[in-house]
Amino acid sequence: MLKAFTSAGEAAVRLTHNAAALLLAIATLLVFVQVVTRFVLGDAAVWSELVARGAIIWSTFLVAGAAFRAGTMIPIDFIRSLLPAPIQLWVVRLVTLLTLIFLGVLVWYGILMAGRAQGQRVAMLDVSMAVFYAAIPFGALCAIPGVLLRHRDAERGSLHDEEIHE
Amino acid sequence: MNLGLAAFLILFFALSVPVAVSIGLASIFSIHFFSNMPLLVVPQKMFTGLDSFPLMAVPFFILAGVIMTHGGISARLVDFVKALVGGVQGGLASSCVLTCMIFAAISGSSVATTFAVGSILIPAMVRHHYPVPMAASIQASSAELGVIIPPSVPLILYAVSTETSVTRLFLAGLLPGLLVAAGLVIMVQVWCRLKGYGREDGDSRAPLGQATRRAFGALMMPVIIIGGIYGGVFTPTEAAAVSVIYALVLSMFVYREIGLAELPALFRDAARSSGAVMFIIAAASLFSFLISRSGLPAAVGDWAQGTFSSDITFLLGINLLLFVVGMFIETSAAILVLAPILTPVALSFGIDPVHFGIVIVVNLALGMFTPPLGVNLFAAAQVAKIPVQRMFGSLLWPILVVIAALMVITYVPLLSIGFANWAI
Repeated sequence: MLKAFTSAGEAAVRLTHNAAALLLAIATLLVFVQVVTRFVLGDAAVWSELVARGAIIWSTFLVAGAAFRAGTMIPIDFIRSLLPAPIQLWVVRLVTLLTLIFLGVLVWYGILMAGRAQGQRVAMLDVSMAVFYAAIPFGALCAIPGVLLRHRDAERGSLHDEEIHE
Repeated sequence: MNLGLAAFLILFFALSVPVAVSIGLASIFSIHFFSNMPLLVVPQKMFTGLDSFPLMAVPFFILAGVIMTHGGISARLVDFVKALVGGVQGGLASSCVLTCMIFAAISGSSVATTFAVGSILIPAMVRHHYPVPMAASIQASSAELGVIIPPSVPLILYAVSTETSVTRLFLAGLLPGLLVAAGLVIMVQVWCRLKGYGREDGDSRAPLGQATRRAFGALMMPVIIIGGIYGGVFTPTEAAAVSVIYALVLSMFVYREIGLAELPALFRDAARSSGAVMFIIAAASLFSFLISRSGLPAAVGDWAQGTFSSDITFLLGINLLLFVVGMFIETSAAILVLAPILTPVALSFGIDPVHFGIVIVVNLALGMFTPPLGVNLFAAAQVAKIPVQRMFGSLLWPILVVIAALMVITYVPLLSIGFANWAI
């Protein structure tokens, strides 16, 4: 049972990570095309910038799960590292709890906010603002398995941080 | 409310809650416990914080950095600089500074610079009998140029959080970056001569013509990016997207160091790194909304006006504060939390916001290689395969040199804004 949950969680992290990478690629391409069209046609399409912005926002929230999972969400763990190991584990538990509260607020109020924004349209694009806003609750929801899997590793004492990123 | 906000933030940072969550949750708790605002502002402000075209330069420059690190671009730049200046005693150490300087002009991050240049030059310096900690320290301190010389992710963050022009900040970063680079080159030259390191640095260099030809594509990159921004051909965000495509073409089709199969991993890596930074930005825009609503900048401004007699002492105080903050707190968090509070105060002292941004970024860049916590230290130690503590002894001189440069940058505003004003 637990195993099924674990592999479902890992799959969710992998899927959102890939989707975020794809969205980053799409946004880059859109902005590049915008530059090219401005040179060639002398006039840039406005829609490409708006879609690129939406893609980056979605990419940011979708990739949160993968960043939590890999421990690259940038903690300042100087003080924690000075504590004795048993206390460190309790601090890690508290951090996981606080992170889940944060994500919970984002999911709940993110859904409410997306609901409110349903009537607003994105300028120049014929879509609802809710499509953009939905990135927050959806990404936060998908980040929960990443946080839990990271925590499972911490409980087992098998944390391995990946290389440092800025 | 401000006290509550600060208390939660410090508590969460100390508990090692991830920076983005610390900032976001401290804001949420303050809203919930100390105000009557609805929590709906949380997703609203986080969204509007990210919904910005200038900000999109951040993920693009991070992506370009990841591609360049793997695409053989840094290796060619190293060969070129070695061929150019490597002949003198200590030439290899000087090459490290200068390669970082050129790489900084195509990358916006100092960690990317440490990995890209350090993975080649730290082993090379060790082969030439430089002590490992010294090689790592030279690399860690040179890499800070990555965020001073444009393009620079921290400068974009400062621009976005204080509504200052990215282009002007990029222009303003150029001369201060060259000053820091010059200071570091002089330092390593003196160091090598006093200690007798790097006598045979001239060996095994490629001829200059050949090295220049091989590095030509890579050398054109800063020309396109910086030239394009300064010439008004494109915005910093567009330049970032162009540099991604250029780096891809260069490393896939010209240098053939990246295959199609490796691309997804690079994009995943970049998405995760930039996502972590962008998440902090989202949380920080909620935080700075609360800060500006509470009138804290005005209160700090009144206090500063009463405490500091002039802009000279105020800037000294700022530098001391940032030096301590930079030792412990991650750069993007420090900028996003402090810039909205401090910049209005600096304005009240008649300090140009562009100059102030450069002072903040140069100072926090110093924090990237000051013990105990500095991202460049960890990155360089990882490349050099030594514990971070072993580097501490050889960091004193680089730190002093950068502090001296910082003082010049702080008290000669012309160095930063002069060029920016002249160019646009």
